[in-house]
Order: sequence, then structure tokens, then C-alpha cells
Amino acid sequence: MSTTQVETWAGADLSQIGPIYPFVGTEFILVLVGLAVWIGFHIIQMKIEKKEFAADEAAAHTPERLKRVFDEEAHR
Amino acid sequence: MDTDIGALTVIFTEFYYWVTIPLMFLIHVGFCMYEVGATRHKNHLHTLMKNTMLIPLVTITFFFFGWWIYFAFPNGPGITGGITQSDNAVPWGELMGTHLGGPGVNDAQAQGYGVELGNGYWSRVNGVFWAAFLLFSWTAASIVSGATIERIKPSAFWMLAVVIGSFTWVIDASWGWHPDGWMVTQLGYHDAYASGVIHAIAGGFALGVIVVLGPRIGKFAPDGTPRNINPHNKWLVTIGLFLIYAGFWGFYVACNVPIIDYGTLGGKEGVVNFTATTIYLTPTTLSAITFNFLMSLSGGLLVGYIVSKGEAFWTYSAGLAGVITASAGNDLYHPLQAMIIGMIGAYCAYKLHFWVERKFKIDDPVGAVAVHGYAGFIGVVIAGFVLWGHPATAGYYDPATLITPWGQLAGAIIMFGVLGFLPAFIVSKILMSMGMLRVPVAVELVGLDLSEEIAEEMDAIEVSQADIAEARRLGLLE
Repeated sequence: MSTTQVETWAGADLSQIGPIYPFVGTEFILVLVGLAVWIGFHIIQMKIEKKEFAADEAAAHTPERLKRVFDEEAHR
Repeated sequence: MDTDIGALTVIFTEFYYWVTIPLMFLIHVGFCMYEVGATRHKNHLHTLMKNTMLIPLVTITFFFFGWWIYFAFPNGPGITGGITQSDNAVPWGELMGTHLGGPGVNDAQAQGYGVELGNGYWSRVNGVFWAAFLLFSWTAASIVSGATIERIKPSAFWMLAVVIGSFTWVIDASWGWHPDGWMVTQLGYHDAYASGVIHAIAGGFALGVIVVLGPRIGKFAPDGTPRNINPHNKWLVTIGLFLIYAGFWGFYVACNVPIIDYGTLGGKEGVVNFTATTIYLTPTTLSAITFNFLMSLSGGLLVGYIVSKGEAFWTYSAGLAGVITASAGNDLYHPLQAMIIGMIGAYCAYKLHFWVERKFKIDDPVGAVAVHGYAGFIGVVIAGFVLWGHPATAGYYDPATLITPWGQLAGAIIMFGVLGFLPAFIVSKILMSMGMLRVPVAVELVGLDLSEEIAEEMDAIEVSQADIAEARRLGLLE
């Protein structure tokens, strides 16, 4: 019993062996999972970014913060 | 793999491409360094992450569809034929994983493009060849990244990175950087080391984005005079560019096929002639591209130093522009021709950057459009004159399609304009109309790293309070 197409390398004729990753035949499902990961990342990241910018924007509306940033910028 | 020479050829090819990949990683390290150096301190962490995260996003999408596009689209489709079946490149194909080259379980034999090479070839070369192309994809996206610093939303940039990295540049590669691409067979397009295929398209794409994105706050005075927004670390910027030079060696080498018997490609029958070839399967040598890489780099650096009056950033950038300009024909040029062409490209890129900035109020903080876009465009066109009449197609095309100035000009327009500027402009317009492209004004003013800075301040206060409490406990403080 093996999750791959190989159960022993003894006497193996490599020219007759094809894919050796586990669970050959599930590639299409793996691609669907991969696509979900990709799209999911964009959706989750956009939500994180939205929250972060909202917090930054709120913090930016304090005169002390603005003054500090501009002072630092002018003296770098 | 069933003869000694066959096995050696395949294993050498596999190793050859593998070596190019860590070398090309240096390009990305360099891009990150010079972009971070070029930003102001208040934005440097976001700039780093913006560039870093294009790596996984372009990688997985290049696995899903980029690699397939390269093999499937040489005919357009719809220009010289339909979609080419490419079993070695579909993401669910058995050859897109660990495979020893024998008959597959569900796919007995790869079908479509390169079928005559068989499973034995693709099982060894597919992954390293895929990765070499992928590193070009990162480069294309990273070039765009530099032009957009300090005001683009990372989420928007990453979508644009996927558009160029896994879609538009791969289409241009399939059309103009493939031995059977329609631009090669119909226009005689020749661009051996990607002046247009990577650099012109990425420069055009960057321009399409920043036209919509607009300049950074404070970049232009009310009368339109540009202001210098200086890098926060010029040393980091120049070391980054130096690393890009280093990574370029991998880029150049990855553009070649290392060893192939030209007799199998339409050379004289019965004569065995092993050679390196370009991606077009036209013969060249590693010596040729080594000569020409260094001479075009030198030409660019010499001109850059003079025109920028020794300014470090532009001298380094001009070196890059020199290589990029000569790249289209660096498989064939004489080294001194490469130097002169590099000098012309670097001079034009420098002058055009500042002219466009003043005239059209375009804010390109790192000169990406000039160094990659204008230099790449000019390089493709120059190759049309200097290589006029040389065969663009491999030996199995008889008669050959020849390189011409008009074929190259058309190719440069397709790269920079049609596949570069246009899609970027359209996607950016859509993102802008949805409020998804540019960061809020207040955030741009205080800097994109504000959250990180506030968090660091809070951490520092907490640690300081803990220190004070400990000092009091020990009686060191009252």
C-alpha cells in the first residue's frame, strides 16, 4: 500500500515510471483548492488593508501626528 | 534519456536552467533593496511588502495559467492558427509534478507542443524551465512596482502584478519570444534577451498605471515644476541596482537553450552540430552574450556618468539601460556595437525621463519607464536596422523570415503599447473608478507605515514602563 505509484525501487525500470507524487488523479481537485487559496488571499488581504487604512486615516487626523511626520520628513 | 548523449543533454539542460534561478533571485533582492531605498522612511515597510508579496501571487498564478499561455498562444490564437495543445503546461497535467519520464497514469504521453521531446525530456526540464520563465515574470511585475511606490494600494498593485506577471508578458513571450510565435514567423521579430519582451512591456505597463495613479503629493510645484523627492537611503538604492546587474547574468543565460544538435533543427542533414541557441533556436554562444552584456553595460555606465554628472542613481540606472537597449541583438552584435547601442539607449532613457516628467507631469520615482520601457523600445528598433536581413527563424523554417526595421518597430509597439500600456491603463482605470487604486490622501501624507510605527511606539512605551517598574522594585528609582 503506497500513496504513490511506487512500492519498491528494487528492480525498477525508471523508463516505465511516470508521476511519483502522492494521490495521482487528484490534480484537478488540487488546482481548484489552489485557485481558492489565490482568490481567498486577495479577499482577506483587502479586508485587512481596508481596516488598516481606516485606522491610519483616523490617526492621521491628529495635528500632533501630522506635525511629527512632517518634522521628521524635513529633518531627514 | 535512452542514450548516453541524450541523457547528458537532458540532465545538463535541467541543471543549466536550475542554476539560472538562484542567480535571477538576485534581481528580486536588488529590486526590493532599491525600491525600499528610493522611498521615504515613512513608507519603506509597505514598499518592501508590496514587492515581496508579488512573489507568491505571480508564482501560483503562473502555475495556474501563465505557463500554459506560453505554449498555447504562439498562433495568437486567431492570427496564424488556433490554441496549441500543451499537456506539459496545464496545471492539472502529470508533467507539472514529480515525474520520472515514463508513461503517465492518466496521460500516457504529453500531447501538443514539443510532443516529439517526449515525457523523458519534459519530466526533467519542465519545472526548471517553468521557474526560469517565472523569474522573468517576477522581474516584469517588479519593474512596475518601482514606478508606483508611496501611493498605490498594495491590493491594487498585486492584481496588476498578476495581470502583467502571469498574463500579458506571457502572451508577448508566446508571440515574440517563442521559435514558432507569430511575431517571429510573420514579422521577423528578434529580441533574444528581452529588450521588448520584458523591458518594453513592463515599462509600458508601468506608464499605463502611473498615468492613472497620478504623482505623489508634493512632487510638482503649482507651476508644474518637478520637485526632487529624494531616496531615504541612496546607498541601498545603488547596491540594489548592483544586485540587479548580478542577477542579470542568470537572466541572460536563461534566455538560451544550452545544448542542442542543430541537425535536428533544420541544419545540414547528416551533420551533428551541437550548439547553444537563443530561445528562437537560432545559434549563438555564451561567449557572445558575455562579451556583449559587459560591453553594453559599460557603454551605459560611461554615458550615464557623463549625462548625470556623476550622480550615482542615474549612473547605475544608465548601466542597466545600456544592457536593456542592446539585449534584443546581443546574441549577434560585435561587442563594440553593443557598447555603442548601450550608450545610445542610456542617453535616450535619461533625457526622455526628465522630458516626460516636465512635459506630462508623470511621476516615476525610480525611472522604471525610462530605463526599461524607453530603452527596451529603442533597443528593439535599433536591432531592426543593425540586424536587417538576418534570419529571425530557426533552420526548420525555409525560407527564413528575416529581421527588418519595420518588423521590429511593429514589435516594439506591440510590446510597449498594445500589451504594456493599454491593459495597464484599462485595469487601472477600473480600479481607480472603484476607489481601489490609490491610498487615501491622509494616509499618503502621514505615510503608509503609520500602523507599524504606532505599534512600535506602543511596544517601546510598554517595555519602558516595565523597565521603570523593575528599577523602582530594585530601589534604583523613587
